[in-house]
Amino acid sequence: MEQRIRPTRSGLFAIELLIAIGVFSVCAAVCVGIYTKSEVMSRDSQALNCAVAAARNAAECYKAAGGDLIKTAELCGGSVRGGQLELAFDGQWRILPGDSDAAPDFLLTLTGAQEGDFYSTAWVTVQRESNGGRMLLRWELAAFKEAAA
Amino acid sequence: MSRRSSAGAVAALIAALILGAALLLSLTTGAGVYRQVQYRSDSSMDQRLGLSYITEKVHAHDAAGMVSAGEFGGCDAVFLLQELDGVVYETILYVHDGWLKELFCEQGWELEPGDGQQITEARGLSAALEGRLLRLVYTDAGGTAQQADIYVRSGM
Repeated sequence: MEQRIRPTRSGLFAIELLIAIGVFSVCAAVCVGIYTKSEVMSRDSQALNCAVAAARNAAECYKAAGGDLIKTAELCGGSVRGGQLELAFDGQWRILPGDSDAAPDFLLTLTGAQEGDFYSTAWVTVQRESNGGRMLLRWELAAFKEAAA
Repeated sequence: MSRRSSAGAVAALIAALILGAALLLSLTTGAGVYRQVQYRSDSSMDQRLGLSYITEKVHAHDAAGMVSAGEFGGCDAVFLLQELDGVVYETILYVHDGWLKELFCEQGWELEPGDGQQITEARGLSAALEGRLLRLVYTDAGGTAQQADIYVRSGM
């Protein structure tokens, strides 16, 4: 004859607690996921803020140089390689010297696009080099050539 | 009390402790993340506010010969001129006594740096002209220095 096992009070309490812990664990996991996401978003936002400032400075120098990349490099730093100006930054957004061996965390490039009689255009891009690399911004610029005169 | 029920009570106690630890961990992680996010937001705002204010003012006053850099009461300052009804007024932007200040007056008036209107807290501002490029180094209230180059399109 089969003997029926009767649940004890403490056993039921343990099951109830386990269910509660399961629910709270799922909630905690979701919360930690949201915290991590907000941390990443905050870092990205700060990086974008600094990228905008760096790109704005490079754009102003490009305009002051009348679209000449070599003169732009003299004004804002960086080096011109293969028809594009490269400006490397460390994690604190300090400009790395052109001969530095340190791997940059962020890289600003200014690439000439179009040469007109009176103006020239270029693309400025800022990308994150560390953590897999990701483009932070890309703008098109135009500079009047008379500005350099 | 039987051995079975005593084991169940211990298991329940351990489970409750795990639950408490998880809650505490979740709360401390949340508080830490919130603090970091708030700090970054504040520092970004501090850095951006003063420089953006000066930059936008310079662009707004960008007319031939109307933008210059110099000294005002021993502080580096940006001078922006504008003519209204035949009278030339100047807007002076400078950092004095821990504040970015703005002073708007008729050109030639003898005023002190303390007379300016407070805009935002700041530690320092240096301004220099290189051709048509106005180069600023702004130090915010947190001590972070940031450079801004402004191309004055209309010329000095």
